[in-house]
Amino acid sequence: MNNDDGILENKKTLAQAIQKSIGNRIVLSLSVSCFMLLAFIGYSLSSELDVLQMRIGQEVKPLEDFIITQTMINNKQAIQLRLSELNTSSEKAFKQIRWIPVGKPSNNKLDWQFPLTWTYEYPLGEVIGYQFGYFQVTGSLLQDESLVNNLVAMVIFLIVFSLLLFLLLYPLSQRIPKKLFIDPINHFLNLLSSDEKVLDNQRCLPSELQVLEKKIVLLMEQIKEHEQQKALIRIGQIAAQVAHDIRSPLTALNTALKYLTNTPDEQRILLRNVSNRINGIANHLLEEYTQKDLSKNEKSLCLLASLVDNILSEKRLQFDGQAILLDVLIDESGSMAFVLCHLQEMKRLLSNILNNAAEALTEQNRSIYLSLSVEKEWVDLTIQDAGVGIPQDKLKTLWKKGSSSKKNGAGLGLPHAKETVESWGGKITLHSKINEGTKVSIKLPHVPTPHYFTSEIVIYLGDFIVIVDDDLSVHDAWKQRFQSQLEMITLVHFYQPEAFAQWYEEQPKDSQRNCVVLSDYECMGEISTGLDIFERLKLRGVRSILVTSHYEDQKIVDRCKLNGNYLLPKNCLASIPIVLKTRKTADALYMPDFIIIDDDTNLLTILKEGAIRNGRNGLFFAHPDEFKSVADKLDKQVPIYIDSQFKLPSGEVLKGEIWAKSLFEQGFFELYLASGYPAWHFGPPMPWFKAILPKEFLLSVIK
Amino acid sequence: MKRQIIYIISLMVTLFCMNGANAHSTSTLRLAVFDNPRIDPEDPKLSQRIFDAYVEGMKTALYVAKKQGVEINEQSFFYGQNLIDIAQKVPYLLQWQPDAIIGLHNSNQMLMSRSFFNDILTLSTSASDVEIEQLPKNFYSLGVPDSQVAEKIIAFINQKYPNRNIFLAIQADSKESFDMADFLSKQYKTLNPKIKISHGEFSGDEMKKINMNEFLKNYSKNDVIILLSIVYSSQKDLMNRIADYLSSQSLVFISYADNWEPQTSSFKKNLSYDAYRITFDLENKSQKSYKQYVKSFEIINKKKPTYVISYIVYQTIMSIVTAMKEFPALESMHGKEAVLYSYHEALKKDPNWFRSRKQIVYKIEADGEVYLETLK
Repeated sequence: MNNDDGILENKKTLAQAIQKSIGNRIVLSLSVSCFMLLAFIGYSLSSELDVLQMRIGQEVKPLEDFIITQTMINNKQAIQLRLSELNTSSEKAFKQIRWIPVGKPSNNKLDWQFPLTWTYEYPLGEVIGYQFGYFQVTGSLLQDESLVNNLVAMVIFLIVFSLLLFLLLYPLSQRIPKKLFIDPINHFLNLLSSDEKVLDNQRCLPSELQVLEKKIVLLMEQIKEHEQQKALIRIGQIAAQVAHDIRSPLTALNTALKYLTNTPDEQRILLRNVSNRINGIANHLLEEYTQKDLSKNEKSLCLLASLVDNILSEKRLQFDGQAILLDVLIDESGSMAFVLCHLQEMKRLLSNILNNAAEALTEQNRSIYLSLSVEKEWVDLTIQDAGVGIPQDKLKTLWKKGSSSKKNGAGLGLPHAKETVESWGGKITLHSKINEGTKVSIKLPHVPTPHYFTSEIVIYLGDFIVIVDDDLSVHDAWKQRFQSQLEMITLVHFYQPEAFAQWYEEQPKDSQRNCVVLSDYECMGEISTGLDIFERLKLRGVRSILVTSHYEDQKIVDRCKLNGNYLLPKNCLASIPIVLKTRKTADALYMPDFIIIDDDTNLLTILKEGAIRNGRNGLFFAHPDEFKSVADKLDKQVPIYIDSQFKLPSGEVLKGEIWAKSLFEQGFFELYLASGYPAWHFGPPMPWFKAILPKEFLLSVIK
Repeated sequence: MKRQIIYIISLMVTLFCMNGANAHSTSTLRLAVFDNPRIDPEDPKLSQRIFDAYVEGMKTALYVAKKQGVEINEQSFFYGQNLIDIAQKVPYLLQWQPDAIIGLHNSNQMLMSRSFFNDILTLSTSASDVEIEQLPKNFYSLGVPDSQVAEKIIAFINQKYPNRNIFLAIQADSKESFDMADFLSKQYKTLNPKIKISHGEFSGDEMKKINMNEFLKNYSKNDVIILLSIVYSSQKDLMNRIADYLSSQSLVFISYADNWEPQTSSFKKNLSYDAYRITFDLENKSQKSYKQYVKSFEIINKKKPTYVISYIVYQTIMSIVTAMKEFPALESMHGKEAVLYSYHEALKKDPNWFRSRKQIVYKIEADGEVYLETLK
């Protein structure tokens, strides 16, 4: 027999096993009861025999007197006659009586012989020394009417008792196991084998089994969910594989794009955007499906205008030939509106909404309007189509999963979009009118522009505005933007970063200081990126701006933050405010060799003297407040060495590392923590510091 | 002087003689009455009357004895119906240390007591079993032995109902009854071998308990039924039961029991059978002693004697008193020894001391007994 057979057999005999188990106990109970009853009957029989013995004694007593007296008067005939009469008489409790004239009885008790006979040796009394032997009385239990009645009553009672016991206990082996065990188990088996989670409310289950039932249902749901997740994981694995496999040809494509020098810039940019978009999708797929927690949705800063621009570029290609008009209105506030969201998710969301809008369009009006604006604390992105619209009754259900306005729609898009937007702290609303169209409004919390994004370009008279980009159209665009200031500035164009670097290094220092560099990140056919050149030339601050469409790339962002370079999304090129200022003496930023902020005045004095001796131009502050008063006049590139603890007049302690963060946010990026504590003392990494140094290092700074 | 000496000697002799006479006249007798006078438990009133008559006769005897110079110190030890009671009472009786015992009115009782009394004069008022004669010499019954009765009963039957077969009704628990049946059978075989003798047995005095079918299974039509039970009142019941049972037959009953009741007592029922009682004349009213008895009875009990038992008891006690008076014991003898000695001396003179010598036949009628004849 194999295991399956064994299981099958167990299944078959479950009810029988319970019945057998309980049946054994019933039999045991019956046996014990019967045994106890038999013991009781035995005891009763013993008592009855005692009673019988007494009765025999009473019945025999007159005979005893008779025998004694007749013996004493020597009337043996009378004795024989009386015994004979007695033995033939039917009115007696015994069967036969014999008189043994000599001797004593061997046993004074009535002796029961199985099954129904008994013997009793009754001793005759003594009369003044004379002995008269004993009677040997024999009889049958059936002769004793009362005993027989009692026995019959006992047996009837035994039968009735057993019957009652059986009737009481029988349900234990039949109905109760069926009701409490078999049926619930079958119910649970049905429940487990059924796809439907049907809870039979009619069934009266004990509370424990009800809990079990609920847990089974819950478990089944979890299993189902797990299976769905497994399917998703499988899909994810496939997606990740696809994303991974796309990477190689995509890299090849990107590489090839760099060398497409004969392709018109506009198409080349589009191709690059598409390539970036594919790359983004691949990245997103990898991120999405290689994360253990699929619901995880990390947010990052997103310049919504740029994102919209990219998507629109894609959609224009996608809708090419469909005669769809994509009309975008991004006002000045919206052009630099940042939100916190997941970039790829946001792109997908917007792409889907645009697809839906395109599908809803009619032949008569094939326009889709996008607008982006900032209203108070919200960034409002509206997508409006002039399509067929959605019926009001369907509008209410569209937010529920499984509900779709499209014929083949899965009904997951809008609910997912709502869930996603809400997870970012935003709101998504849908307004639709039949034959007028549908308007989707996405409101996301407006996030202040991060310090490493430039919100304006400040230029001074006489500045060199250096444009580094391999794209001629970008140069043209900048030329357009600076058209009105061309008489006051000098616009310098470079198409390779290395060419710019060479030019820059040849410039005198004063000229270098008057340069505002607007460099692309990546240039065709160039190994060095614009950021590499910034780093190499130690170009930092608001006058070294990386104008790139890679502003979403976290690595680039991190490098800019560390280098003190500013970012400008390339699609904001046309909208970024340009502020022309007249350079005044006072306005000139002071650039000392270094700044040391430490409340140890003795140390400061020593360092000051050392710096003077070494001809070093350093500034020394004993308190952050002293520094604050001159911070605006200082060049942001100046290296600042900050102590870790400052005692305030109130007695409290100001932590230098925390205060330094505010400096970093103001644009000072060359920050060092000079502390007596080791680096590990400060716990988590503090990215606004370039390094955590021992105080002794200050001695080398002043040299 | 001589006269004086003679006077003194005469005075001393006189005083001595007076002393002797006084001593003789004040002899005492410790007499234990050991009996069961309540003869019929089924008839408590009759039993009580018999008991009263028994005591009255006893008192009369004590009175007469005293008059005759015998002071009787009497103590009654009455026992119940069951013979075993005798054995239970014996220790108390012996503890009292009587000089003589009277009572034990039937043969069973008398025979029962033989084991207990070895050296005390023990008198039965009326036991008649043949075995009584075999008892030790301290036992004596005033009843005439059955051996002396059987022959006369047979003669009466032969005369009255010649060649009729005999059915003996035996009270099994009565030794006397069995012995009498045995004796009668032997006598019949000797005197008239053609007569068929059959018998039926019953136990106890309660006649209503007798299984008549079993009892009369050997009875044949025209058998003369001789009733050998002890108590006459029981016999009367038995006759009625047999008559009822054999109602279609003409029955003849012969009883030889003593009747302690007045002779005038009668049956309430008309008799459908012939019945005779053959007995000794216990009262013999013609005797001088009977007249003295009646006189004394009337003095003591303030009434005339009616029950025969009173006279039987009287006679039994008086047999001792008379023996003591007529056959005084030796001076060395005292108490029971002296009494036994006197009685033995009396029996030596008359083996039937104080027994009746006249046998009478009574015809039992519906209204009582009618003297029929005196047997010779």
